[in-house]
Amino acid sequence: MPLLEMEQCGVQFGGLTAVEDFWLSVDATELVGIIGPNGAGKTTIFNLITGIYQPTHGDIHFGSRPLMGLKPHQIARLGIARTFQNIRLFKELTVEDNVKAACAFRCGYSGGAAILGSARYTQGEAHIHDRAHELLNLFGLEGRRHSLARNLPYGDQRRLEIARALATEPKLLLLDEPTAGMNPVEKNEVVRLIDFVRTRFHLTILLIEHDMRFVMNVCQRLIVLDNGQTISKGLPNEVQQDAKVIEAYLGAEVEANSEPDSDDAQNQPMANAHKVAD
Amino acid sequence: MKSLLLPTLIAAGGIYLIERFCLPSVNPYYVTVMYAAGFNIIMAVSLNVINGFTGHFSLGHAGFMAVGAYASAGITCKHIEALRGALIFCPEPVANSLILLSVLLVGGVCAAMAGLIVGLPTLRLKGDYLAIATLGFGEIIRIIINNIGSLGGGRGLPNIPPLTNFFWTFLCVVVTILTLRNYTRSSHGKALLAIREDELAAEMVGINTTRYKVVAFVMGAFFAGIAGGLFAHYNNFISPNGFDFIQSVIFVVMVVLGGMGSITGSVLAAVFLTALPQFLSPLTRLMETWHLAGDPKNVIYPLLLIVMMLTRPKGLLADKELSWAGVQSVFLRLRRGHAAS
Amino acid sequence: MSHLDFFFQHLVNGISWGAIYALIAVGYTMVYGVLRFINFAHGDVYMLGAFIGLFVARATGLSASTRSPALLLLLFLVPMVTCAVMGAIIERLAYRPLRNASRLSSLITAIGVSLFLEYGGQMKFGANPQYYPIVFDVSSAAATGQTTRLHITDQQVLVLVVSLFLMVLLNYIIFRTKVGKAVRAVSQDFEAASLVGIPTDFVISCTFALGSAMAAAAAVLVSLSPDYRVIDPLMGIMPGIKAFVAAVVGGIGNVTGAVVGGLLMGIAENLVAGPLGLSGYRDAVAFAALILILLFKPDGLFGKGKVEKV
Repeated sequence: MPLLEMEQCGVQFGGLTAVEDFWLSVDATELVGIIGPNGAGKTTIFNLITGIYQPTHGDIHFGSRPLMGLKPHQIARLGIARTFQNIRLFKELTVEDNVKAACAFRCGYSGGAAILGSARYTQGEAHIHDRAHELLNLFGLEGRRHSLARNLPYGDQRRLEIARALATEPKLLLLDEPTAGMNPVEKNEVVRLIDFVRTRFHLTILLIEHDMRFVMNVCQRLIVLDNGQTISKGLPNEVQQDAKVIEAYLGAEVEANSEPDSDDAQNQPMANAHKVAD
Repeated sequence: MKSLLLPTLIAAGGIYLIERFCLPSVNPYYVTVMYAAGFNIIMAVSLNVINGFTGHFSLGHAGFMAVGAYASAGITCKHIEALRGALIFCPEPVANSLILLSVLLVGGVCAAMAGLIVGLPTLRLKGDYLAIATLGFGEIIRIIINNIGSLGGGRGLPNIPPLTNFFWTFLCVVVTILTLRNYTRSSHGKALLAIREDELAAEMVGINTTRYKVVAFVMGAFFAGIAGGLFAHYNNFISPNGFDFIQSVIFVVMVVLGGMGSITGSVLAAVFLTALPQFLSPLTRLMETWHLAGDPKNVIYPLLLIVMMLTRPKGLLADKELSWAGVQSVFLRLRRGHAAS
Repeated sequence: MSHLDFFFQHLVNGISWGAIYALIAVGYTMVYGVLRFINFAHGDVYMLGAFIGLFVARATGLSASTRSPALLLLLFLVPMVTCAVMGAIIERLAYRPLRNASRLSSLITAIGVSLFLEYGGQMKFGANPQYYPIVFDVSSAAATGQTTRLHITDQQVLVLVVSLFLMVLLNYIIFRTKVGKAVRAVSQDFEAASLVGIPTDFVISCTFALGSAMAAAAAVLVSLSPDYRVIDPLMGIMPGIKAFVAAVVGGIGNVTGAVVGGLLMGIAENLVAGPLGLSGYRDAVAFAALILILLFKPDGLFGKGKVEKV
């Protein structure tokens, strides 16, 4: 059974249809990318999955669980974590506390236990402490664990956000433009990070991105959105050649220059699309 | 057990000793200031949980104090004889203490219910709107009490039995501080802080923001109710005007001054602001020569608010708590600075 | 007086008060519109208007016998202009430095300013109440029904006339002048407005000035009523809160909403106090209305729902 299944999902705001007739099926350990021009509705899909918006029609299932009607924190506790396009860290909290806050819901002790300082509290806190440090170490943030999140350099903030998401022990990770604002070197690091995180934590990943080269290198398959509609789906190479996709990005008909060559993404018109889309 | 019960017992012993041996030699006027400080500490610390930790700007905290005060005093005023009669076999101090503790609990629970009534509807509100709504609730509580004849209405409720004493006041202060400190430094406290920082992101990491927000309100209101009960049985007279919006603002000043998110800060600020008016008498005399009347602290508090917001909006201690390690590090930095110069 | 008379009398009172609340509410709503900020101290600017008016009245020896259109004009103009300036000064000193700080900081500062004005005023004027001279006699009714015993006083007529005039004036300023257009632009999108060269600081000062002038006019109108001759430094608190609630009910940020909200507030309040006989709960109407509207329709009657973009 697929890990995440969205069937005929749509959401409307007032008179505006943000997303329409969206189908998605993701199996465990897959890495699927959602791409499309700005305003296509990609983040809206994430918001639908995580419960921020309720779909006006359609179904979303996580494993066998229907997600419609659940509150965002309930969905998060089922094992879906996400990062945000413009990084939403707990700015005035330390790096350490950002991760620890994400461990709070499985702290294992009640408020009463905390107040009394019982053994469960001490054990729970120790466990959280260990887990937080394990994650911080993994992401190279251990040395700065007492810094305020807002004082971190940009790249570290993104890593912290991912670390925080992983602290909830998710099965599905939604990454919203994880390489926004990064130079190519940093982007390569993110590629390695995603790969590492995926294997280490047995994660299924859904990725929104603008950078075509990045997406081609990383995703197993793609879904392309434009104006809330799915205009193409499939393997990266197929999607790259799809005329509808090219039109959506470049706004005009562009002939494919040469035969599809998977080793040399540079020749493809789609590869240059990121310059327009960014 | 060691974070609450043991320190409480130790504190109880200490407070008892202070009451027995130190208090009689202290100027009674200063003793009243100490009581006032005690009530204010409980109010400030409980408000900080709502305002500082959860980031919910509540402007109606005096309303919860009023609920606690009137609930507890309402019982003792009408039924003190019956209660004392039931405890006829106990020595008087013990009976008084039992009655006090029971009505404090009742007051706290009533205030907690009020906190629920205020907290639930205001869940979806943010920032300014939340502030105004809590102000509204606080005023509604005051107006309702004003219109309840059996509780004295606008003229106030007199002749409240003097059950509050030094020991129970400061034991309650200690218990309040310990309870709220223990809660806020746990992961639950971190959840509150997360809600303050970014409610949506907090939901995304599994925090049930609704539940925590309500819990914060209920906890804060509960302790405010306790403070109200203590105050009522100390002052022997309460009136709705003593629990108005201005009073709520005074508590907000304490939280803002001490640092939103710092229990230690609230304690220090409460003490400081309670003691401050005592040092203002030269200022009062100066004001008289300028033909200005009234209480200087009413003008100084707002000025303090404005100055704080313009210069150090996070308060004196911001998020930090006073700890041994913290004091040591400050010392080290001072010494290093000294050596360098 | 028959029940119907009683009802209509209170309705008239309600409309009169409603106009006052509308004048004050407009100030709240405009400032919120441009800055998304609740000017807690607005009610106290209203209070200042009353006091300045009192000084003018005393200085010119205004009374029932010496009232002339010129004097009355002065009685309104001086407080309006002075308060306009003071409103802008308060913004400049206390709010502008915090424009980029957290909303909470600005709110706390506004509360500080409000309390400072109130208690500072108390210090200056002491506990002694100050009285406006009787300019309009309560018994001189402008209109008395023939069969009914409806009683509309001169002052109430003045309120209606002046407030109507000011509303029309404000409408003209906002919708027909360049400044007004700038105010509307800033209300819609602060950044875009500044990017196209609108001097946002100046526009914001104007907004504060306009709202303050309206509130000052309202204060003078109220103080001219024989029933409300007494003025004191704390007089702005309740009208301020009620006008604010009116603005929220109407949809904060929307000037028409503020006017409608103000009228509704005045009428509701007087109907509760009068025909419903719950005069002790008169003030509670505002708070109850506030909570109800925030719970069920926080955008107010004329507001637009805004979807938060994640």
